Amino acid sequence: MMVTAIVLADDHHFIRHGLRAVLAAEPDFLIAGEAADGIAAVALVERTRPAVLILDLLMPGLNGLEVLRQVRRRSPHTRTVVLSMHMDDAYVVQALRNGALGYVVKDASATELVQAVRAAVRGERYLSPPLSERDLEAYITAATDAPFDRYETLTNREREVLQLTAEGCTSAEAAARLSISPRTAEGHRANVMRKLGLQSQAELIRFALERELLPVKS
Amino acid sequence: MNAVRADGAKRNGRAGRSTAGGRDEAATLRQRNELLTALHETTVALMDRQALPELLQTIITRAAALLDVPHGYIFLVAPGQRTMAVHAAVGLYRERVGWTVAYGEGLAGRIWQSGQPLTVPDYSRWPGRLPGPAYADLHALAGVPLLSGDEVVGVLGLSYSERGRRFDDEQVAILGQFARLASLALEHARLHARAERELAERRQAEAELHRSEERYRRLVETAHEGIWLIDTEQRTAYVNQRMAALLGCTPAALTGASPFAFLDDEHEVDAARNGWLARRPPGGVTQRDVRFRRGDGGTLWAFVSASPLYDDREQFAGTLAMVTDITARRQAEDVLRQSESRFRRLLASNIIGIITADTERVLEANDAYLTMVGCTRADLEAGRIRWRALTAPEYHHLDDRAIAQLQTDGVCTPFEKEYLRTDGSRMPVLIGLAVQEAAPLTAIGFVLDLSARRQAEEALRKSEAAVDLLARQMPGMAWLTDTDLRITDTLGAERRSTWVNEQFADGCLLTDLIDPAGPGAPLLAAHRQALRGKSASCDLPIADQRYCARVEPLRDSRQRIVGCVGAAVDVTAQVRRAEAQRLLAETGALLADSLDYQTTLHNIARLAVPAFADWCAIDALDERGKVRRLAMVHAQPASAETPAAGAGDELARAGAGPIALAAQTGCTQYLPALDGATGATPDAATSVIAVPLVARGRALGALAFVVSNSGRRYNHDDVALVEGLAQRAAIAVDNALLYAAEQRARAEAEAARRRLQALSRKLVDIQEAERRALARELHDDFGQALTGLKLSVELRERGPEPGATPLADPLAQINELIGRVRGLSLNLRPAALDDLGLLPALLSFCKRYTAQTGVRVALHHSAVERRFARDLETTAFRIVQEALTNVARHAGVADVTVWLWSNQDALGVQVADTGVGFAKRALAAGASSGLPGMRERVALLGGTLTIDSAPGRGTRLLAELPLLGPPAERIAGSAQPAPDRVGRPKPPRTDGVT
Repeated sequence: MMVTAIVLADDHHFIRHGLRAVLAAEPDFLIAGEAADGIAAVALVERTRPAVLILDLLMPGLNGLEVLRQVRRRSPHTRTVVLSMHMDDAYVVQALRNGALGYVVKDASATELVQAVRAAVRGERYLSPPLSERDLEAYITAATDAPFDRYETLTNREREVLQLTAEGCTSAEAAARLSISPRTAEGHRANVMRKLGLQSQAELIRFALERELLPVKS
Repeated sequence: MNAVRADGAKRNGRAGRSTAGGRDEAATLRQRNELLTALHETTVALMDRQALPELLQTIITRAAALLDVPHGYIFLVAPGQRTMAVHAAVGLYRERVGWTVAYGEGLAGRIWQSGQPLTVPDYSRWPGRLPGPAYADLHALAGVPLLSGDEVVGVLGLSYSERGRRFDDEQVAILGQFARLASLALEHARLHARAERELAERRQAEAELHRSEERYRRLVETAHEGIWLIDTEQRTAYVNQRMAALLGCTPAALTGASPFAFLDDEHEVDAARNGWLARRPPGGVTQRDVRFRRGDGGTLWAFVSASPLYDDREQFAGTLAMVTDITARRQAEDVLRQSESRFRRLLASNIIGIITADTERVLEANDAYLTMVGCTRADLEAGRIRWRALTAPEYHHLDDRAIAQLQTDGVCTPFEKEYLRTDGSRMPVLIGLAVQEAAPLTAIGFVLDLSARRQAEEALRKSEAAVDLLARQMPGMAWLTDTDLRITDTLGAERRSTWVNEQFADGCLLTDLIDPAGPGAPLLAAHRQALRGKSASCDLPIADQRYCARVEPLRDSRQRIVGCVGAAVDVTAQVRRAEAQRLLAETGALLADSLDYQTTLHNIARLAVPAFADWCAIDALDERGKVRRLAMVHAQPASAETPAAGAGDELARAGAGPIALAAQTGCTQYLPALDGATGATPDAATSVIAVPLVARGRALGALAFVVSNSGRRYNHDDVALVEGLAQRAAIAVDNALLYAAEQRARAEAEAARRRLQALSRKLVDIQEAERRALARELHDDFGQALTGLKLSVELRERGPEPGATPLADPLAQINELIGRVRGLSLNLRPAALDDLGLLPALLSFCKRYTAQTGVRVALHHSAVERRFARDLETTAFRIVQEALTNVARHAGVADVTVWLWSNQDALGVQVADTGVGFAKRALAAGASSGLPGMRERVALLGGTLTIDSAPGRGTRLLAELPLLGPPAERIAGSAQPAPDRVGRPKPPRTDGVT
């Protein structure tokens, strides 16, 4: 029978106690050591080279994500199952991206943890319910940087000022047309330039032309 | 000598006999006779002591005539020489007198050489002839020597120019006779000459002796010196005339007299006894100045040079005294001594300066001179007094002229010049110079201090000038009156027009001119007081001038009052200056009075009116470059109500009015006379000064003094006054503006502090509310749930009671509890914001938000997958959280859009919905409890928050947070004063549209 060496890393004594009880029930599991903070965890893993590291994401000393990165570098064969209070997809995605193989929320059942360890030994990903691959994908999509149309960020007033300015009005003229004070109009114009990342009147007119804000003269 | 002649006669006789042999008797006789005659005449001539040249000429003439030969000569040997010269000649040889031949040369030279007669038949063919054409015509020549003893002393020769004639022996013999005769004559002449010379020498010696004796005698008798011979008995042995004359006696009277009798006093007697009259003189010559008493009682000063005389046996034989009259010299010396003593006294008296000087330096000087030029004796001794350097440059030409005059005349005409004293003052002097040494030029000079005279002259001149000036330029009037107060004389008459009355002139009665009830009344009173014998003064305001008048009683020589003398001085300027000083001082005091510049300026203007202006205005320059009236005071209160509207506006009109010009250009506008320019309205300005108010280099406005009614004309003094006032007014305005700015800044700071206080209170409130909610939640929810859990666990341990409702699964209860705790925690602060950053936290939040509210969130983001500063992330998160909460609560929409972006400068977030929106007013009234908190958060970061909303048109909330934190001045707060009205800097134009 293959024995699976496991290191526990959690700053809560009770949690470690509970976990040890749960894992000891499995005859092929061997607790190789326990660590109460991130730095100790990294050192222990590097020394014992366990098959599996069960890691709390929130520990003093060294952030869990940083522990993940260091373990992946110093003990590449060790597979990590993250044990976390957080059910946020953001945490899950971050943990997985930094080398975790399993993600188990702390309020999951004891069996889920054992399943997660065994999946890790097999090299399989394990996400405890209600986490799902679909949600993770949705999150990743949502988090992907997507340049958007800055014009959208303009207020109505700013759009009016942009239009008038592009048509050739001075701030004073635009102000008169909009029945606002010249200073206010000037402020709007400055906001437009800033939001759109424009440096000059020429760039402003080019922007307006590209956005077809100006009637094309025949 | 008779023997010689007899011998000659015998020879003649012989020659006559031999000649007679070849000729007829008559011819022989004649020839003989002629020979004899010739010899006789020669002899006679010798006897007559004829002069030798004549004698020789006689001899040669006679010889030639006797022998019938045309040409002849006599050579004489020059004594001690080897040449002979022709001394006498006939015929051709006449031209040769003085001609010489050398020993052995020619016929004569041969004869000299041989001492024998010689004849030549044809000289022209004779080998020994002398060269030259002169001898070509000479043919037969005969010559005989002249002998003195054996010595040849000359040659006598004859010649024919006729060819064929020959000399025979007889002729040669006759020639010889003539030669002997000539020799005799020569000998005789020589002897005679020697006798003559000796006689002359003896005569001369005798004459010399005679003259010497004569001289000696005269010397002794008439010598200037007296000669006094004293014998061993000390009695006078001899005196010459001079000595007797010197002592005023005759020589006879003196002989035998004792010299001591002529000595003047005991002192002289003692001196003589031991000196020049000593019996045993000390030896050698004794010399002494001696004073004698003359026989006529007078005094003789004499220089006595006495020497002892010794006889053959070397025994003392007496004393010879040479006595020279030195009375004149002594007197001259006395005069000189007195003169010198006077000079010394003069020198010491220091009444006049005395110097000796060369062309450069003062060599000697007395104290008076040193005092005049302000130098010390040390300067003089060090050679530091150079008179030219001391002389004022404009007098150098006089010095030059004086030196020229000294060089030509030895003295110079005294002249006046000025010394420049070392203390810088000038010393006028009169200087006269006389040459002391000609080369190098040294002069003695007398220098007279003229300063007193100059001062007197100057004082006189000044006094005259003052009187003249007084008469012509008196700044007022002076007059005399009689006892009836009739004006008898006036001075300073051109001031009449501004004085009491234009008729104020000679002959007028003051009582007619002055109205006893008018402003001149004090003057009349003063005159009356003067007539009573007391002088009086009064001040008189006449027109816009101020006069100060003084009236004194006029008295005659017997001190009777015969009228008044009065004078009035125009003191307007002084009065005005004093008023100006007072005005400036009071203005200064006003400045310290109040910080309210309106009040201050009004007070300044009030001070100026009516003493200096009919109205005074202070205007400020506003930001549009127009003037705005700050203060105005008018002499006539009625006008102040409607502040001189027409004239004032005209003066302040932009671009043209002096007030506006002064304020805008920063230059004083001075318009002394404006009549006609502004029309004839009663209030029209006639004289204006408008001065800019300038503080810290900025024109703030203008201060104007205006004359409209009083007729006063401003002058430059007034301009200076107004400028002085303007400086103070400008300070007041500037201070006021600064004070206002500071007040504003303080108010703003106070407002900010209040906002901060309110915010703090709000934060405390929020914190308390949150704690309250948290406590309630913990107590109500978690407490209840935990109690329930405890109950069910207890029941389970006790075992199920029959019939009881099965209790909830404790595990399920625990899971629910964990979920609640997580939710609570997330609401308080999402851990993801700290652990993972803004975007993950927002994504999680939005997911939960949608799950809880059902409002869908479209989150657009760009360039925010990074960590920002913690407060930036927190603020952005809270803004979105607050905005979304508001949307869910108020907007009434199912969708909301969130934009989140960053660029190099800022993190931007915008939340927009299309919901009900709200009015700005509602927003300002605090409709949203979270918005002011948001504003504060954004402001703290130096960002901007804009909310764009209108009822029915949705809401758009935009926040931009600078990445680099707030600029320093924003942290410091908005204490910068907002520019107000004046000097506001224009922002640069950025909206230039082409």
